Amino acid sequence: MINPQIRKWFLISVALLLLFIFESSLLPWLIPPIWRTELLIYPKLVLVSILFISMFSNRRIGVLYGLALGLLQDAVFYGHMIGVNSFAYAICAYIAGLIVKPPTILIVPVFFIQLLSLLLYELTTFAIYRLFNIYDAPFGWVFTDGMLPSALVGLFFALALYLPARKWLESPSVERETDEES
Amino acid sequence: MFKFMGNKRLFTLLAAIMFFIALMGFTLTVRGGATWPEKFVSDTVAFAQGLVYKPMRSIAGFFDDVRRLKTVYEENQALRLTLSQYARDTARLNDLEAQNERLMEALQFTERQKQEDNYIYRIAEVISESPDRYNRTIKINLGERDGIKVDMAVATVDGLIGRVVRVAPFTSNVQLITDLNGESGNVKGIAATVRGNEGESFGMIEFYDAEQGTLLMTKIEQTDQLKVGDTVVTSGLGELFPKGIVIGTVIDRRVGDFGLTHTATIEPAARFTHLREVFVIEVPTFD
Repeated sequence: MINPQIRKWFLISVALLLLFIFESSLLPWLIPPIWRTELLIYPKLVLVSILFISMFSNRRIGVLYGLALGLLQDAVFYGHMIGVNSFAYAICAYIAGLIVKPPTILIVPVFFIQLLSLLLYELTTFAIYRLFNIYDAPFGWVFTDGMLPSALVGLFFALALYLPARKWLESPSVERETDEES
Repeated sequence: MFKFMGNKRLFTLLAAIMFFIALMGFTLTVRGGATWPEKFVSDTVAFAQGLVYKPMRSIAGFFDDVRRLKTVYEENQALRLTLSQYARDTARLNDLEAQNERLMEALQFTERQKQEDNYIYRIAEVISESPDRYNRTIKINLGERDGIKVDMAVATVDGLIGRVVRVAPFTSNVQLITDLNGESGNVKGIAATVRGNEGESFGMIEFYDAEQGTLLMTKIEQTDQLKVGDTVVTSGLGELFPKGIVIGTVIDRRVGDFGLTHTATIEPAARFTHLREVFVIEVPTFD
């Protein structure tokens, strides 16, 4: 018999891969074209789910998933460089897991942390691409027409994923580690 | 209240930042062939993406068609008119082509010179679009096995959309021209000219202004006859792109930053979203 824990994480990995494919192949057809011509709205479904893992389960696992799926995205869509999304996903997953307050996680703080982390992701990627001189559109415009709407649309997806994520991820056992000081 | 960052954590964070900056730096300038893990991941994921993208595309296409039903009648009228012109043009074109061939023969053109402009248009289906705002890459279902090489031009029926940047055995990545930025180190500008005035006009398309959705054509000479409304096409002088692919229309011309040359703003002819089929343009080579 397969260990239920292993089975759970296997299913979660498959779900994340499906979300990745959904994000890159299905989403471009679901959103109105204007979102990608005049605005720059790129909702991050995979990141939203990784943040849920980080918040409800364990932030270390969240960071690992962030590194892996970010790297996958970077490798599959290798255009400029590899590592941007991997780094940004991992950082966001870590921070989200760090500031969430177990064991009673309320719904409002969860979405507040989601929003903060999504914005952090946007800022991190913008900063990296600016650092390497690849992107040079003005920050103010990218923020109002790209980052903020993307984060808000991401929040809607988070709302849709909230219940299944909570059901799947929140384990009754004390799997979560408390913040040990080092 | 817990300490936000312990020593160990701070160290790990710094190490991670160093590692990733190094990784990004190393992968930034890499051009050409992909490594085998990259190829493997790319092709495997692309297979799954294709399963999703293709049905979705046809569904979206169906709704598009329903929406367009109203305009079909007018479109039909316009097309009929164009068709009669087309028939006339074809006759003329055949004549000119025969003449051209005769003249080439008379002037003793080499085989290479004759075949130079016989571009091969390979149709490719788009599999997926990058979900990253600053890295607008699309995946197409032609790869190394189909003879696709890095730096080939990619266009839709409307105009140029980008170039191939990575090639895996069955798929390749196309970087859209919306990622053009002349200040970044590894950018390749597109040598451009004006249709109907190919010998006279010249400029380089090096920037994309994301805010306006326009391309910037720089290095235009002051005496150049380029004017607002002209159709800009690739010139083929950059040795990277074949010539004659439509890029866009000039909507503005002004004196450039240093006052020596002029800069034109160009509205791209192609759109960069909801892409279905694209053409990879292959320039015939003779070894």
